[in-house]
Amino acid sequence: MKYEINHQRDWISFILMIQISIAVGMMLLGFIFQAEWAKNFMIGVGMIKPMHNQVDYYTYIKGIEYLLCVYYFMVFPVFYIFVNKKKQ
Amino acid sequence: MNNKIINRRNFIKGGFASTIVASQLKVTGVKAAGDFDHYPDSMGVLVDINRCVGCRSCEAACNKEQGLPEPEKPFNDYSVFDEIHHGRMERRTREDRYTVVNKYNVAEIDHPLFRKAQCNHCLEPACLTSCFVKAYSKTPEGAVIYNPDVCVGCRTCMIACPFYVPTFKYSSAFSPRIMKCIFCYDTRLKVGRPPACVEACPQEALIFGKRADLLDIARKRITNNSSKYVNHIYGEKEAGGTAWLYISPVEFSKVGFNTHISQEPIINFVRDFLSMVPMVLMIWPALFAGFHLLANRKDANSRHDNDHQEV
Amino acid sequence: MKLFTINKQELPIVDHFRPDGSKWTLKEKLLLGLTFQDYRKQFFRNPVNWVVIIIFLTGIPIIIERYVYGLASVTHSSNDYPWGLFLGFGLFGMVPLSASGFLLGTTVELFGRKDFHPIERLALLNGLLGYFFAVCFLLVDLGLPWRLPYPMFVSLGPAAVLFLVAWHVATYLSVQIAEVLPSFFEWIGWLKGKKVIRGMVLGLTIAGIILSTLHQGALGALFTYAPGKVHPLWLSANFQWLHFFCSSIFGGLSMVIVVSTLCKKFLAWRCDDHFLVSLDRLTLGLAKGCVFAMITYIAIKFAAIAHDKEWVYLLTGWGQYYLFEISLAVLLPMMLYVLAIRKGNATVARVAAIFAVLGILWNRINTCLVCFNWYMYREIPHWKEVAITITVYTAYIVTYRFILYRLPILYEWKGAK
Repeated sequence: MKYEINHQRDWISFILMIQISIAVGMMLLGFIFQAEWAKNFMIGVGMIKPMHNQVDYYTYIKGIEYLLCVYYFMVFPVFYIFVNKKKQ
Repeated sequence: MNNKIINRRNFIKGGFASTIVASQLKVTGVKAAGDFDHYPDSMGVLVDINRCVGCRSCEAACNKEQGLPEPEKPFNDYSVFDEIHHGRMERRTREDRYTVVNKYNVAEIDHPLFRKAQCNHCLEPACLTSCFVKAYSKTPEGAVIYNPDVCVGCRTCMIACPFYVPTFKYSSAFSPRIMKCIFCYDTRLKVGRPPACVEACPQEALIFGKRADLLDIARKRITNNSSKYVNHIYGEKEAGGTAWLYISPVEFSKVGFNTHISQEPIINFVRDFLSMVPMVLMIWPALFAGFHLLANRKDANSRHDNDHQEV
Repeated sequence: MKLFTINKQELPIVDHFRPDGSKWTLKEKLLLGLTFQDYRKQFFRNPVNWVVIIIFLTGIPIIIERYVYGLASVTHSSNDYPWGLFLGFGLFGMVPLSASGFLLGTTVELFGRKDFHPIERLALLNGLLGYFFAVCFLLVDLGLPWRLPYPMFVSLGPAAVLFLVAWHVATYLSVQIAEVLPSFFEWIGWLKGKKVIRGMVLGLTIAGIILSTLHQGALGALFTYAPGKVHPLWLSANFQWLHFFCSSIFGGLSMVIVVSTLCKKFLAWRCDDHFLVSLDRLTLGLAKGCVFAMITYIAIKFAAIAHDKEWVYLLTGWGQYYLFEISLAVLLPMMLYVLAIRKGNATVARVAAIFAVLGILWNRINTCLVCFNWYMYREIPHWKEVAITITVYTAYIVTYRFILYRLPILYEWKGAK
């Protein structure tokens, strides 16, 4: 297989996946149980912010959207390699 | 936009989410949910075309206040009204003038009418939304200001502005920039004073005040003198609304206004594309990686054959 | 390059070693195995080079004038038409013609159609150079070109369409450099680098598709900022990005047909048999790709008219011009392509490709200049603007030729790879 990887890189990607899952999981739990830190986080990163016009609003939401996309670009290749790794 | 937030409000009841939504509403002071308030106390100017006599005092005051170069013809030279410029019938804003007064001869009125043009300071500025370095900002006072320190000179704002206001300092090789009216923000508006042009007007054709109040004044003038005004306030809704408002005795198209401008702010025409972008960014990777896996038939077919042999 | 074709039978420098077994030096590789005197002699014997020299002698001083005295010295400095020929032709015209890179990358690497391999590298190079020179045009046009990285690192305005264009051009340019590098690595003989890129090829290809989709689309979406300025027939707020993306598909493929035809005719000494023999078959393959994109394009163009209810405009002079554009720039080349495919005649496809390429340029210039401010006056570009445009485009052709002469694009490297 073309995308076969060695053991070390395998471990790194595995750890990365675990970390991402933990982070995502904690976020979800935080939001579901409405933890105080989740609220502080949202205020801190400006997810709750007064907006007076649509143009500023768009600048803001697009910024967050594109950041999410960039994170996704980091996650997806790792995910792809991990899924396609053949059993030894 | 509107419906979305109303639905969300009704949908998520109780607990943390509703406190957040409520606090957000409280913070912004938004009454109609989801509707942007456009800085309710922001300022504007009402221009009454009935009152303007074309003295060009406002042009002179603007030139002085903004430190623009002296024009070839002095401001008391009224032959400029009859100039015909490259391709256009009327004078427009330029790198050396932020505002111009133009003359219009209209059939139904025995004297000429004059219209002052400058940046209208939109509530949803097209220049701002088209700028990729955030060189523009809309201040709570109502001005649309520009920061030359980050401008790259791409001139998309000039493409986007439905009123053809921003101009480019083409003459400069090393420090070109956008030149446009900034509502005298730095020197006057910030401290609550009216812009230079308004102060210079001898006819009270320009009134400075809160935009909301100006709308009331304009409406009153129209209803009280219905024979003297057409029933339209230019700028109330054009391109999502502007801080500068106009009332006129004749159809606005006859005094140099573009009456084909949509009531939607310019960003609404771009929204479709903008909302699709993150979808492409997030869907394409798996879609095409999937295509690749599906297209690798040779591998799969050989595996299929192997399975058969094993059975 | 007649020296080669007359005196030698085999291709010049396709390996690290001479026939006698010694190694070519980098200088010899650059001079194509000629001595400096010989190289100069063949250079001045070629009449094309004289034309190039004349263009550069006139154009470069004007470019210097633009940077010293500002845009006002070379353009009409129009505030009504902020974007002139540099962007209308250079950016909006050249970028769709450079879509070839991602299209053939996808065909070969993602769908595994190895039969298109002989033309893949040409398509990738065509993409890279087209984008690179579109950026050069941008650098001429921008008021403050030295601030080009500002939207990326200094002050970010993510809601702007141009923000996407900036990011996508920058990242896609890097992706394309990476995609073209293997031929360079083969040529200089650094195989390790090639292997690294080989490992990333799927990622690069997919990144290419994403960036091209959005970036071709974003160029169209830029015009949605001017709904009242561009003639309604040339603008669809909802579908503009799809129109630009779809037309870039046949634009890019047609450009590859045009360039490969030129290579076959004028650069035959540099092409190996593999390329020359398969070219007719590949041309018809690309033609097939074009016709599907073209019929889709025509359909969605009319869907846009229906969506915005603009039928009445078709009865005006603008409408006739619009239909004229669609017929000559899309319908005619499409029919020629179909004819070529049905008859198996690659020559007809090549004629069609010329129409299609010119048609794309025509459409972009229409959108950006001719039908912009349609209710106002027309802006005729300053002659110096035209001169600069021709100069930069000539630089593009010269660079293109320089690389094709040397790197294994049209031929396969015989040495280790």
